Amino acid sequence: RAQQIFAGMDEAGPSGVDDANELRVAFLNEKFAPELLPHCDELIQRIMELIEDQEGTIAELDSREELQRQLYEMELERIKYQLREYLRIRLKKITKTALYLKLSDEQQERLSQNEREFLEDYFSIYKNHVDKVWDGASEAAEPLPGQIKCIDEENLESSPLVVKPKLESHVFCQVVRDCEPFTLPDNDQVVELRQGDILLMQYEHIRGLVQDGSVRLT
Amino acid sequence: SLSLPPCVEQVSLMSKLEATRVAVELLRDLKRSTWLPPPQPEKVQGVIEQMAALFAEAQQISALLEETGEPAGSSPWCAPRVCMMTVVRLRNCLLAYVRHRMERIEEIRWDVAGSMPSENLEMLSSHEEQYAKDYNQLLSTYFEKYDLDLTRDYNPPVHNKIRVNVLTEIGQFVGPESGRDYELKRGDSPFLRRGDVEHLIRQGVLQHHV
Repeated sequence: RAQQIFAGMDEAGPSGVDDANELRVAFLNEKFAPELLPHCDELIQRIMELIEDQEGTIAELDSREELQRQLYEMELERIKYQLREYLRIRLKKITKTALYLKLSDEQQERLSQNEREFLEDYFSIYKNHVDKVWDGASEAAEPLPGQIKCIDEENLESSPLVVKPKLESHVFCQVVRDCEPFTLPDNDQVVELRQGDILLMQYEHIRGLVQDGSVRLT
Repeated sequence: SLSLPPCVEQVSLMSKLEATRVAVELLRDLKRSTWLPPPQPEKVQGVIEQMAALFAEAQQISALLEETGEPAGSSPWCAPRVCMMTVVRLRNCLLAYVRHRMERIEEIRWDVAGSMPSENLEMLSSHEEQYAKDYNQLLSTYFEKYDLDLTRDYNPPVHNKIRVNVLTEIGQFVGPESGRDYELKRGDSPFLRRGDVEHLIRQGVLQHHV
C-alpha cells in the first residue's frame, strides 16, 4: 500500500527534484556568504511554478488520501520556507549595504530586476530621510558645505554610512568538485581542494569558487 | 616668536570633548533604551548648531591666517583643521544616530509584520513616522511581485498543524494561509494550521503549546 502511494508521487519528475536541490544550495550559499551573491531569478520562477503545480495537486486529492496530502503539504512548506528565507536574506543584505551597492555597477549586476527596483526606491527613501535631518534644523545647517551633508551619488564614497561586506569572515564550505590548487596571499600556503572536503576558510579566498559552483557553503 | 591672534588661542584651549558632548549623549541614550528613546530634536538641533559654529570658526581663522600670510603647513593652520575634523566627527555621530533609528524602525516592521504598535510609534519623530510608512510601502510592493509574504516562516517548519493556547480574545479572523474563517475565544486550545496562526504567535496573542 505504501509503495503504491509513493509510486504515485513521482509526478514532479527529475527537473522538480533538481530545482529543489538547486534552491537548497542557493539558499545556504546566500545564508552563509558575507556578500550578496549573483541572483537566481530563473530558478525562483521555476520554483514558483512548481509550487503552484503542487498546490493544484493537493487541491485535487480527496479525503481518503490523507497521507499523501500530509506529505505533499510538508514538502511544500519546506520549499516555501527555503524560498522565503532566500529572498529575505537577500533583501536584508541589500538594505544593509545599499549605499555600497549604489557605488558599484558590478555589485548591481547581481541583483534581479525586482531587487534593482527595490534598491532604487530604498535609496531614495534613505536619502530623503537623511536630507530631512539637515532641513529640520531650519537655517542652522545652511552654511555647512554640501559634502558634509549630502549622501547623493557624488559624495557617497566618503560617507561614513557606507557599509561594506566583510569578505574576510570565515565560512564552512563543502567542495563539490576538484579544484585547481591556489596559493593563499598572506602566507603562500598552497590549498588544494578535493571533492567532498569540508573546510573552514576565509570567504575571500574561495569567492570565485562559490560563484562558479565548485564549492558550496554550509 | 609669533604672537597668535586671540581666536586661535581660544580654539587651542577649548576642550574638544566638550564640543562632542551632546552628540555623544544622543548615542549613549540609544544604547540605553530597549528599542528607541523619544526623538530629542533640541539635542539634534544643538549638534547641528555646533557644527555650524565650528565651521564658521574654521572659516574665520583660515581667513585671518590668509591675511597675515601664514605659510601653509605651519602650526597655526592646525586650528581650522581641528575645527573641521570636529565638524566631521559631529556629522558622523549624528548620521550614526539617525541610521540606528532607521534600522530599528525597519527591524520592527519585520518583527511585527503589521502596523506598528502605538507605544513604538510614540518614540518616533514625524519624519521617522513617514520613513516607517515609506518602508512599509516599499516592502509591500516587493512582496506583491512574488505574491509571497516574506514575514512568514521565520523558522523551518516542523509540523503542519500545531496546538495553540489562546491568551487573549481574538474573535473572528481569516487565516492568511488557508483562507478559512476562524473564531477564537480566550482559553481555547485548538489544533490549527501553522501558517494561519504564525503571526498571532509572534504578536504574543497565541501561545504555541509544546
